[in-house]
Amino acid sequence: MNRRDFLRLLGSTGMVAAAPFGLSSKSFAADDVDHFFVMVHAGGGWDPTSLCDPKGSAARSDGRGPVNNFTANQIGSVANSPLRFAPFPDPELATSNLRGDMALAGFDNFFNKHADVLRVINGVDTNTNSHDGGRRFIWSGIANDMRQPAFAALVASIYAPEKPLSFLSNGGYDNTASLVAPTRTGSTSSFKRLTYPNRYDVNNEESVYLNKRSMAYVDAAKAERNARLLQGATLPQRRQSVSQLFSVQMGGNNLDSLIGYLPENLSGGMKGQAEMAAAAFRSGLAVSANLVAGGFDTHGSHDRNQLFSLTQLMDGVDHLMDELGRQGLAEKTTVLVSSDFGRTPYYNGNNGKDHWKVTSMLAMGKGVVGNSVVGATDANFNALAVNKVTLQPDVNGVKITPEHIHRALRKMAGIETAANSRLYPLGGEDLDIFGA
Amino acid sequence: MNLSKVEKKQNVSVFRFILITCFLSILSACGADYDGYGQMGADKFNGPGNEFLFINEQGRDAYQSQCTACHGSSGEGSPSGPSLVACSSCTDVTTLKQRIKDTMPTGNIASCGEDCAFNTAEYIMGAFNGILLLNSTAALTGVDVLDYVATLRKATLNLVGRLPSDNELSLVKNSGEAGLDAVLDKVMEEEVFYERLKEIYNDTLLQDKYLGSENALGLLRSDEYPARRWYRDLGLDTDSAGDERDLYYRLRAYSNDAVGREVLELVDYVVRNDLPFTEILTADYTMVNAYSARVYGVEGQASFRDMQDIEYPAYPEDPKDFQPARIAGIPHAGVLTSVMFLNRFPTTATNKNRHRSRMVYSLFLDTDILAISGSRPGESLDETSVAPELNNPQCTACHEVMDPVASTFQNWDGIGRYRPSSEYNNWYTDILARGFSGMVMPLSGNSNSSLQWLGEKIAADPRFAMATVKTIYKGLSGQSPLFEPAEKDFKSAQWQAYLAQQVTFKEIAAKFTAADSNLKLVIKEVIKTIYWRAKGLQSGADAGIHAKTGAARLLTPEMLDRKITAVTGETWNYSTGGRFNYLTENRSDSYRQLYGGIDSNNIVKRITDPNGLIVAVQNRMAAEMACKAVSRDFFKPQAQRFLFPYISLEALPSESHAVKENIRHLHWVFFGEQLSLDSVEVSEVHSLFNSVMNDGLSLIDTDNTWTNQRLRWPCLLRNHPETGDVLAEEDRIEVDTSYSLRAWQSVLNYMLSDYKFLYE
Repeated sequence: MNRRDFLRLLGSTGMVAAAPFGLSSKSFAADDVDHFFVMVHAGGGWDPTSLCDPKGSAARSDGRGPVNNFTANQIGSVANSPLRFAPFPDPELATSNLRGDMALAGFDNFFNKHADVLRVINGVDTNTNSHDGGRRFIWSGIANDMRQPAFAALVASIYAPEKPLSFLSNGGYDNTASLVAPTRTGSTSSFKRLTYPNRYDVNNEESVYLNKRSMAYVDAAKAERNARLLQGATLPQRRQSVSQLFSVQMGGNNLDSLIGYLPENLSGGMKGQAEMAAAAFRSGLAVSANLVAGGFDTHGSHDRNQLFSLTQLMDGVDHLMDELGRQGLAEKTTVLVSSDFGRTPYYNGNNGKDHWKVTSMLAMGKGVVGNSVVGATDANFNALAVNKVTLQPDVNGVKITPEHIHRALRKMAGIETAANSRLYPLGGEDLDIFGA
Repeated sequence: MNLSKVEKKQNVSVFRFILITCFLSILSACGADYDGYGQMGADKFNGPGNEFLFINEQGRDAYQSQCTACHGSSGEGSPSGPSLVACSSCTDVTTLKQRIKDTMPTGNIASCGEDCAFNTAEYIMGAFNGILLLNSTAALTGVDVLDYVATLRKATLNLVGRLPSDNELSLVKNSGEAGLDAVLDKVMEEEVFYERLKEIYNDTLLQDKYLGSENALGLLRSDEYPARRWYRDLGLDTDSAGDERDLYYRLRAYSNDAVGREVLELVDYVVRNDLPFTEILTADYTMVNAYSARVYGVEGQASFRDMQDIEYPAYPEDPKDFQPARIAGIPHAGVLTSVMFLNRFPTTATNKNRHRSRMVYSLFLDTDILAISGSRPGESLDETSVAPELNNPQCTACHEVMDPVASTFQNWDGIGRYRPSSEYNNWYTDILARGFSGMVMPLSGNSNSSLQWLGEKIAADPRFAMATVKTIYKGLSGQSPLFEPAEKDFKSAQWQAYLAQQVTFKEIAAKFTAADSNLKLVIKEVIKTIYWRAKGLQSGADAGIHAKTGAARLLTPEMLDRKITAVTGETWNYSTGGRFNYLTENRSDSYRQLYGGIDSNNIVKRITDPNGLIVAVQNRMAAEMACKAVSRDFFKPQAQRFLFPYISLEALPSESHAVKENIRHLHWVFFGEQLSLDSVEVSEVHSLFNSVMNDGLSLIDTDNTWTNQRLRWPCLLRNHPETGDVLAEEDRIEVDTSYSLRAWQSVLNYMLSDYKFLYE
């Protein structure tokens, strides 16, 4: 049974409307995908004032101490650009080896290297200090309903749900609402075995468990059996799970194309996640990916721990951009970097910072006007209202929320009217968040 | 008109009779396949305190004056108070009355005494739950369900990873539900059941994070547990390979993993010994094996059985044998006081145990605190109040629930060390005092052991039973309990389905409580529900209500691993200096996480929808296991075979009838399908068998090479599968000149990658 027959079967059983992977509403052929998405999540709540929205150490009028431990004149900037970035508060940190596994470097390189494609969105009001709520809001655009799909899942479900790795997830907020299956990554050797399931020696195409003709009989019998099972499934959820499995089976595997683009040895941590995502996009197997870095919930020893995590994060994002460039995808991929929420504009008794509802987002790549900063916060890191057109401070304007960001994101991706998007409507109004 | 309470009850009785009559009429039209819920619905309207549909006017007054602000005028709930429609305590008037009396209204409990609580409870049950529950129970109709035999097969595979025996099948065939109960009782005595139970509870408690290396032992402080690494003091030579190094690493693993799993072993112990399941929160002991007993310095408190094969005479004790023990000076409260639990759900100086409180509510009280809080209103982060959690009304709704429980953890610090209040009187003043559910904890006798007080209170709370039922339901079915629909349209299909499930779970929760909180009863009852047994929608039934009924789950890697072995008699494993199961080993080159499994550390959520890699794993497994199982099964005496009991090896290729008989047998063991010989399924697979065989014979005719006459080398059997001894030529399973072995291999490949094998 080929794909066309399978779709016909779904139609005959009334499954087209209920097909979980959007087979009926698919408006993009798999080969047509030329826009990929990477969502990079800084787990635990990062501190934008230690990165892209620095404030300095001026005393607060309420006596709660400074926002940052570095002075305003230490704040870095990109020439001929509104982009600004935090320094390390203690010069020693820039050269120290805090945990014995990684030397820290400043953020200068990152911001200067990627300025042309980087837009900073400051003063994003998440309206929560709950990790779960913040993650959900920032990555789905909807705060209150636990069933909301992450944007990365939503766009994959609309662009190409039948791709075998359509939505690669390394964690973060990855709820799919059963629109598309999330996929995890593994080692290169695992992928090789799975690329050729009928070979006992993966490097020898003659070493097969069953010869091609026998496998063809098996495949044909399985397809007929699948059709019978689908027609016999009367419970809605059962029909959905049957059709889900068959859709993926019919989508084929094509992992061999991925193998060719993977490094011989995947890197560890977020760099490895980045390598896998870029290779999966390049091989035509994936549409979107969640990348994750942790260690941002710095209730104690904030400067030291937050900076260590931020450095790892930015190192990973830099590697991601390099990998996308190496695979020829830099201009086809939108990268967003953000976190659960922000951190307080003052230090607690443990030199830590607690949860704060205001955060930032870094947007890079396709669909994003670089060298720009939109949104703003005041000296005490409170979100400011912005003009609805210029997105610069305006007391008569609105505060930017994840709803605004996701409305713009859906529009940028061209999915704002897709059936799956309409299932999860967004509040708020349209703002030109990304500028393209 | 003023009616006395007696008169009211008489009227209610008449009304109830009418309802029951209507209700049974509805059931009589719902098909005879399912026989479980008719009685359940009738029970709901029996017995004192279940006066649904009766509106208590005094209760209405009390409700409107004291409850509406938080719970809404129709019990719909608000950011300040949960919905009272099908709420956890809305089991019956008596339960609800007690809860109101003990805890409501928050902040002024004394204002609503016995009568007030009774009237209010009666009003809530009648006004918000009566009609709805009746309708929702009717919503359980319209579904065909598995018969008890098929239910048993599904249950044994799920619980113990094996097929039912002939004796078990006979008992169920002859005795129906009673037979099923009896078999399940025996099944739940098997060792594998306890592994499965721990698997289910680890999915929520995530304790396996600490398995391996010294991950658990490292969480114990050396000044408190100086023998935590006792095996280091034995003077064993770990520098050179040999017995001493092997022993060292074995003792380390026995010790570490026992400590890491002490919480799950408590669950095991309580269930195994038919103790009230509430004891997981009230046990005044922890669980140790002979090796972790040394870690805690409690050796001598219990004796342990020996291993079957003792390798090191100085250490004969079986590391799988766990016994209760009390650590000196520790006021144990089951799971709550385990250093492992406290580290898995840690806290900080500014979090003040609120994370732990939230987890307690989520794990044991069927309450999502964040849902109580709902969407935080604008400007929720209050910078100006000194303690907004105490003073800002936008914060207190959630914190009044969360903070008293958080404070009960004050005897335990951020890394799980015991810090009695009498010695460490430094708890915060900007958080509510120790308490639970409106009760303030009496300090006398509890101040150094407040988690013991909390454990007792949770054990007595009706939400514990509901939380337990939901944990077991999710563990067995792989499905999350239905969310309360966001829209308050109580007549919608979503609400009908939600309420029906709530009713079903509450019935089970009530039985659980009545049976002294025996967890095994919950497992048996969940297995008998429509949700477990549904197999099809009847013509004309409401598909909207049954949108989530009877879902089949993609088997977890652990379950698929067991099922492969149960059905084929063989294990899917590989060798890299030891044998590892592809689906269960936690290694980067295994498939455990690719197949949706968790590591209890960074990956804590299972993947339940198939993706391209999951299907690739299935295809790889089908190819490898079909290859392995054919030769190994044919090597067994015919009567002992799992897969081919109808096929004589000497008479290959077998005559058509035997092949069909065997195909029918395979449909039962692989899929649980009971088919006739002339069914479509048997015919189609027979056709597959013949096609492959005839095609292969043609191949041999045209190219009669040594290779084509034999199985591929990974599939042939030249050595004894157990001893490894080289087999005599005539005993080998290798030559396949009839091509029938490869035809069977094709059939097994077909079956191993089938939906009904991969899902349950």
